Amino acid sequence: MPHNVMIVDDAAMMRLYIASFIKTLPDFKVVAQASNGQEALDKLADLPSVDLILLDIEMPVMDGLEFLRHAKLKTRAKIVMLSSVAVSGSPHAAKARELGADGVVAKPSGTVSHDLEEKAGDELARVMRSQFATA
Amino acid sequence: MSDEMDEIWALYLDDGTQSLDQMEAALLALQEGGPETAGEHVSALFRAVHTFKGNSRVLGLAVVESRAHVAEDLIGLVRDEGVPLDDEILEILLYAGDILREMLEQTSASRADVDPAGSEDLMTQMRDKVARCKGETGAGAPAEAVAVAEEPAAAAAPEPETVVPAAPPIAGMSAALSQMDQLGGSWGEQEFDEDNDDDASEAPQTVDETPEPEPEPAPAPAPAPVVEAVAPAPSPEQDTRPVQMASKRLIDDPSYRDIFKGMSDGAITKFRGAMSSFASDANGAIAIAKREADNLHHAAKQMGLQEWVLVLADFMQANLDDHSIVVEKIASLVLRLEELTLLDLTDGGAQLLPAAEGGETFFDRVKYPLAQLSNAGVSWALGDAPDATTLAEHVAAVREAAEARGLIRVADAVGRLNDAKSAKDFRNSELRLYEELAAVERVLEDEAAASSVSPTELLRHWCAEHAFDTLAALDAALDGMKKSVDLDAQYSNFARQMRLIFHACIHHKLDTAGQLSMSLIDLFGRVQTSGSAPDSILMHIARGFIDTIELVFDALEQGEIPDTQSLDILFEQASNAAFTQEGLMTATAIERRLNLPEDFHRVLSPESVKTASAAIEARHNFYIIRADINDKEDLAEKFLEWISADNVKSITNVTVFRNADTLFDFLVSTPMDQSEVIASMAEMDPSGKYLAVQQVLEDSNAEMVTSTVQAVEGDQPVNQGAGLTTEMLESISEVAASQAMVNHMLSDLSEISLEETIETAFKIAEQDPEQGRAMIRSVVSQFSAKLQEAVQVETQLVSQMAHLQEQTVAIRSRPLEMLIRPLEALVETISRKSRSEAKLTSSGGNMSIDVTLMEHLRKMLRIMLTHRLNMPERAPSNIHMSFHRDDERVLVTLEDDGKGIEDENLVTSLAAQIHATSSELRQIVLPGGKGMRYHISMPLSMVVLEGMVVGVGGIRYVIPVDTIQTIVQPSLEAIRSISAANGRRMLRMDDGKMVSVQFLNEKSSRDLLGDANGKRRVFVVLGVGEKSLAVPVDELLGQQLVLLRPLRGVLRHMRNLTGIALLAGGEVGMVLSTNALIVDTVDAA
Repeated sequence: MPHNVMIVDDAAMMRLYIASFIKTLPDFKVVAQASNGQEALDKLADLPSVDLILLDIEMPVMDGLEFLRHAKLKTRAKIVMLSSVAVSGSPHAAKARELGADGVVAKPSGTVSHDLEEKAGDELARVMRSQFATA
Repeated sequence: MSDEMDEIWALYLDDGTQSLDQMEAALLALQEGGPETAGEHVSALFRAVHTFKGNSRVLGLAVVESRAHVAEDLIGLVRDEGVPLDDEILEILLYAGDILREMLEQTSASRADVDPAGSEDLMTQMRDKVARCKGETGAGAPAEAVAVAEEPAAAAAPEPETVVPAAPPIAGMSAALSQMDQLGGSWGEQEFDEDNDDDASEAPQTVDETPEPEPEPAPAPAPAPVVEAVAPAPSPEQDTRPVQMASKRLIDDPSYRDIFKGMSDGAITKFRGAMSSFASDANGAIAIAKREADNLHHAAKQMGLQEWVLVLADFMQANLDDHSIVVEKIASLVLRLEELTLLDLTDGGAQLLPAAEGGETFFDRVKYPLAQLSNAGVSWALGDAPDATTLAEHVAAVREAAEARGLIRVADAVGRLNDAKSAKDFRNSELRLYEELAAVERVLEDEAAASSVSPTELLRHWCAEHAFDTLAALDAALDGMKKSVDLDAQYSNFARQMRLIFHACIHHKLDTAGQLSMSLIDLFGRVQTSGSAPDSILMHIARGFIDTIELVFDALEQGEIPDTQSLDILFEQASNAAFTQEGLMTATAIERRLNLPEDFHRVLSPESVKTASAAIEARHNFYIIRADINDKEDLAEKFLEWISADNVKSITNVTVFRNADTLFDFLVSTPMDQSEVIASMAEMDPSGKYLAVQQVLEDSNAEMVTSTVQAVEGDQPVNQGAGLTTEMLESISEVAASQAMVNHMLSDLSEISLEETIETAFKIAEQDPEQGRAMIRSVVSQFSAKLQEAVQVETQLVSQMAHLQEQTVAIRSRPLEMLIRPLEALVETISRKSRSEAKLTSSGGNMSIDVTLMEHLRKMLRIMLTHRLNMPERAPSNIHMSFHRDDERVLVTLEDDGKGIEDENLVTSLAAQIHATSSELRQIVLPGGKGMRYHISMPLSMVVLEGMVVGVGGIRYVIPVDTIQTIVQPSLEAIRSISAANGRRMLRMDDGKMVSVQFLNEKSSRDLLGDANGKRRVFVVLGVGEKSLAVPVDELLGQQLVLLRPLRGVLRHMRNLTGIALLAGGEVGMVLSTNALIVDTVDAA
């Protein structure tokens, strides 16, 4: 059974890139997408079967860190940050870890990283899989 | 026991005397000394009083401690809050020193606390001053008086002239302590009134025994009457407020909290002592227990800690005449008090606040079961495993409350308490539960506050208390990683312990340290996912953090100001780790170089930096393009295709929020100029609405080289430039960090005892060859891996050094124009004085040379021009300077139309400069004596050179890149021996041209065609004009900018060399003179 994934990112192109990348991973399936944290929280209430959330940080309405704060109380889904401001060791990455992010991956070339699969695909797949290997 | 106590009291007296001596010395120094040493003395003063306070607390001397505590607060205001140290503070503190010394002597002799009454005046003075310094009271209004005014009973007081002369109203811990002292031994005589105004009802007992305080100089509110019969009439305002809300609660004051905490700790110690001594002296033990309980009970009431009051009252009501239950009762009390120490004080004791409006909150529901669970944990730790059924009930209560609110992670976490198999398990699960509760508190902050519960504070407090143990566990986890033993478990343990240290840091308000701990969790977490062990960079940062934070915690424990400077450096290193690990320029360097807008600062990943560095290297143009494409799929595709094309590089991009729309700013680099970029945009977006060039960025380093042209006075030295730039400082830091890592790795390597391990392996091999071989394989492979790692870091260091050297070279280089302009001004000035109109013209001024060389040249030209223009006869009116440079020398020609005559005086004047630069000067009289021409030839010392570094016969040579025509790896047939040229070797080029072969050293003349492995040799073909020669080399080591230094001493006469250069790796390279080689080889042939 593939793990159910929700993509939360305000950039439509980025959601497409991520979804297209996940299609290459047989053990994951995209079941929902949201363009900000509030929309994701609303959808999450109706989708208890989500196993993993790929979460951008900088979004309108409700940003990723605020979403993380709330979602960590009410879901058992693993939450992996996928953001251009989450370069390893950076303040945003540190904040995400503080709030309980299960994994953090930096987008390689900014908010819209058209080269996601090429430059960070392996890392992202590893982080996603590690969530379930250690569970 | 008695011996031990004697020793402790003696120690107390000795330490206390020392502390008070130090206090006095510091005060006297402050009275006499100047402001430059004040900081040092104030710190010493603080430490002395802090130590004295701590010692008093240990011995349960609550009154002494309370006086020292307020003195410490007062000093703290000076030390930390910028309160000026005035005469009044000094006098008060000197007074405090005297009183504390008296107390020390008295308590050491009696081994009991002192009567607080004797020091009430000091307390009043100190509190008054503290309050005024904090600006909490009106001018001169004593703090205690204000506190009185805030007490409901006092606020509702009738007029001051009522019946009984005022005893000091019980407004704070000082008063509480005062009463306690007098109530000592009054077990059973006092009624425990739960009402909040019981201060008033208890006050009469103090009336006869407590001396009246000295009248206050400032007007104070009327003291509270203490007549039980007269019930004070509350004012209408007070009627409208809940009692606790109306008063300023003592528990809100950290000083009182600390004092109470000290008292409770002291009482618990005494309860334990009573249990120990019960067998030998039952009545004495009971008396101690009663007195301590009574004192603490009263203090708890003053503080408003209802839970404490109930627990202590319960104990006090027990029938302790039944000796069979005494120890059990005391033990039970101790457990409960320890539990409360953890729970109640840290939540600010606000549990008397009413429940949040609208009914019971989540925190209200879990408060009691949590306290019971915590109690169970404490009992278990003391060896008493909890009853499974009771435990399950409390767990269920918390779980139900959590599930009712959808807090499933709390529900999961509390459920794990049921599975705990040991006290340690239980404690760990409890900590995790508190972390979940803290997460809830972050979201339901108001509810938590309304319920007076703060799991976050509890968690932080616990973590701070256990920080040293946690650091030891962290250290062990790092050791485990180093040995690569069960890596995953070590990583998890590391993250777990580091998280606890994070809470401890936040408890101490060490924000940078907290952030650094989380950064380390992040950095290690990412390496964990990759399945490898952390590299030396990470290990270095993590070890540095552990060592530093241990010192910081230690300093805090000693009451000293911790040195947190190295934490900032480590934080910087952690932030840059992703870049240094890949040997890249840091993101900050790119930001500064391109002057990137701030929005981009957070999004530069190592990938982005790589792309940007390559673009800078290629001298591309940088643009920020705003793209409104989020909901325009077709345009987005076109645009993304454009930035993925070969001639455009997308470096990074950021989101721009405009109302509800999401736009993006893309940072791109391209060789295209702005008009070409705009044309491309127009092609994709003919409307021009959605794509636009927002900003054009410039490489500031490129500017730096050309923008330093400034008008300089003719007699002023050449501007030496900005010196160390920020970027250079950053590069130096990177080099230093890498060097430290290499050093660290080499010491790691040196610790591996290969010889010993292999010897052991041989011995094992005698019994079990396979095991012996495996052992050798393992140690060798471990050694190789570490060596490989060290080599990688060393390579990175070399690259950083090269970068730094390039920066150094660039910063030392100056265009000759800087020299020409002031000389033109000089000519104008001198000729004006002599009423002539001389003009200086020049050519070749766009050439750049090293700043030192330029300074010598400036001096020489200045002397020459001054000399010629001041000639008494036929001074020149037209002067022309021209500059040329080859790869070895700067050639300057100065020609004028003045009198044609050679002048030895001029040569003498220039002697110093000529000698310093090893220059040559030739004077030529123009035909017919119609003018003079001077030729200055200066060797290019300290010149910047783009060189190809090659290795020949184990020696490094640098070949000027601009003289390299090509590099070839010819076949055997291409090398010919020409008999007509005495057997000289020639290389036949592809175009048929024959080029002489020149060996750079004897070693290189062997194996001309290739090495023993059949690898063909590489030839570098050099040329000047039409003349060429081929130099066989063993290896090409790469191109780099080098700083050429001239050959000096005996080396000056070495053939075919221009100078030497220090290469990036620290080696010395011989810089070849292509001219000389050509003369030697080609011309000779």
